[in-house]
Amino acid sequence: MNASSYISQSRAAIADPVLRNALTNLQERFGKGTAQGYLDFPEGPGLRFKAHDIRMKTIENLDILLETLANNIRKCGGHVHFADDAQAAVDCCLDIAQKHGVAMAVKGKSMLSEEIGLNSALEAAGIEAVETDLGEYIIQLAGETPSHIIAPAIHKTRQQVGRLFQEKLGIPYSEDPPTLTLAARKALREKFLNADMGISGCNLACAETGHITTVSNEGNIRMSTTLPRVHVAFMGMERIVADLKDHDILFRLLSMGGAVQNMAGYVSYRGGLGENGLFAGPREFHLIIIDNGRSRILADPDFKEMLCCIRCGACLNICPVYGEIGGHAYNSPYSGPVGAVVTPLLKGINRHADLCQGESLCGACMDACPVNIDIPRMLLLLRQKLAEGDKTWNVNVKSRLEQASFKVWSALIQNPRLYDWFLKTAFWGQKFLPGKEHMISRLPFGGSGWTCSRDLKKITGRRFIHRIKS
Amino acid sequence: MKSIKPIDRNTYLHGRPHSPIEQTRFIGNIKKALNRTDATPHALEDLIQTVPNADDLSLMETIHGRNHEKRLTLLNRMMEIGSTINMEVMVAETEADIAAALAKIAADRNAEWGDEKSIVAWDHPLVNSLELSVAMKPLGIPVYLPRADSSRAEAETFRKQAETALIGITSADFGLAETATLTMKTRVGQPLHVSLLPSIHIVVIRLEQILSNLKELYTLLKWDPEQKAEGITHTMTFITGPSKTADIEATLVHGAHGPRELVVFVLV
Repeated sequence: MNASSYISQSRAAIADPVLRNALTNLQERFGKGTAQGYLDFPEGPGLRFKAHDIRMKTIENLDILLETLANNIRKCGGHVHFADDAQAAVDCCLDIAQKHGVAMAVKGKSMLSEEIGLNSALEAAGIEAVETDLGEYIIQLAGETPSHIIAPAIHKTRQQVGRLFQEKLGIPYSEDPPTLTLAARKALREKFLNADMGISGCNLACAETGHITTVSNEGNIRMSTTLPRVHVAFMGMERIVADLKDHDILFRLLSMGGAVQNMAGYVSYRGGLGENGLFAGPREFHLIIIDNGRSRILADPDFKEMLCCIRCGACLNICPVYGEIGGHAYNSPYSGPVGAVVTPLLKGINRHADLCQGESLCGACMDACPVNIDIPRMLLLLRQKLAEGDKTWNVNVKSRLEQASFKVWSALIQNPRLYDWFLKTAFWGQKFLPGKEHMISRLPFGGSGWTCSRDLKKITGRRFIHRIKS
Repeated sequence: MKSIKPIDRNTYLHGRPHSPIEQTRFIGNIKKALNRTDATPHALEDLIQTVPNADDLSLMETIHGRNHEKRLTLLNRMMEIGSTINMEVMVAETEADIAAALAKIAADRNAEWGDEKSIVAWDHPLVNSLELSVAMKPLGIPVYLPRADSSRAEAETFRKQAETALIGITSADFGLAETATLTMKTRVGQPLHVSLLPSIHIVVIRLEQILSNLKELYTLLKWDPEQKAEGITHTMTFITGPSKTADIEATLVHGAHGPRELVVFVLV
């Protein structure tokens, strides 16, 4: 979780041709498809701006909407819990599991559950937690972490999955995706039918009706929330809309941003289950609403826009940096441009300093975002906080040396004589550096990072204004 | 199975995340973050529309005033979109036609979860009118229905039948042409797992149930007196195409967990 891990993991990823091939493939299909999809909306690409307005208005009224949601769910017999942090959320889930004597839980894909470390807590309590999204299932079997918000196992090849299933499921080796999918279908069907608890995330709850919503293509979330005796849903406190009307726009944008679809395969609304619950399914529904650092983001006018995010992963599918280094380098369930802003804000700006500095600020993420979040603006702001320090966010200046260097540079360029002297000295000094005719191939000390993958043009020793006059 | 330890309700309710105190504190943190003061004007009515506006009313009129021709256009659109997502939309003129087509599907496909082929279906007027038991009798394929007044034990038995069934037959509340989506609320005699556990899901609807898009659906759910009175029930499901995944090398595969095939019959 430090600088060297981001840099070393990125380096390893760039050196891995298989991974880069997978990432190129992903971005070709999804990145480009989504961009075209936005143009094809009946309302046109402007729908993204409207969605942004809806999301902003929602998060600016989160207090009223969450209270309304909780009241409406309880009115119909559902249970609503509020958790300030990861520990409270996990404890709450363990309490429910204990009350119901849960031995096995099946899970729909939820990045929030990764954020709060739910699986390890369940396992420590002796509860088997089975991931059921095919991608999540693959990485759970492999003992890895997700490398993409929507396609968690995108870093694995069909050959790797084939060998994994051969070893863990005891099936003959195959590298045919339909055969492998069928094997997972069979193995997981048994888990669905025997699980005591179903765990899901929540895409966008509806305050007006008192329902959460879940979205999937595989049907695994429907299985997880229909078959076991109890359903527990985890929801980040910002994942809500005021009324059904907002779902029209947001579900279409979510489906297009997430998987280039006009509409995701399955969308389910789940509210309170009443006194007896389902006769042959969950008898209780619990919703755990989680803060875990979000109210701090909400309190900062510069960053609250990040809470508009609906976690579709569209920015990953277009980002040139994610496209090279993949998701693991980000050291968080949230990778790519969204992760580069959300992870530092949730877990510490200094601790995850490299994330915002690794991004290119090209702006592709903003254009790809279904709710048009200005991610580049916030990346830049994070960099500023790291450069200058920030009391509200407890940010320390990342590099005193860098700060001092820029102070010296600033003094230098404001004094013409000093600047001329610097140019002359540097002009003579650069002769001692390795390189070709007009190029320096390696800078010394702190400058070596600049020249590790490119050459630097030699300086001429005279200011531009002097050269152009002569 | 682990032993269930009794929980002291009092300790569970106080200082635990679902106690009213915790909620007040949690929402209080949000209010603080939003700089809410008692003087800040904010009302639920500004966020949730409670009276239909002119657009809503005119859209309702469009939906209710749609003639047969226009409905057929929507049906064509639904067939067109359905074909792009591997969802077959078939037109039928009589209940008997549907029953015959169903018998053919049942005869052609192989059982997946059980040794014998079987069918589970909703207890629903349109599904009942197909007289499935009669149609399947020559094939020797049993058809199981949930009983509307069933006890928990009977419901469990029906679920076991759904677990091994080849085909699950349901109706739907609406079909949405623009996205080829089927929407279903949950009612007595219409369990969720009939559209989920069997290998093949078959939906039977009438032409009049096809709407244009999500916007029309939400407008009806929000403003149509009948829909509004019922609410969206404890579980409302949208189904768009058969179960699918692209988690291995972004390759599309059907039949990940839910039904591998989805066929829709529209009675015109």
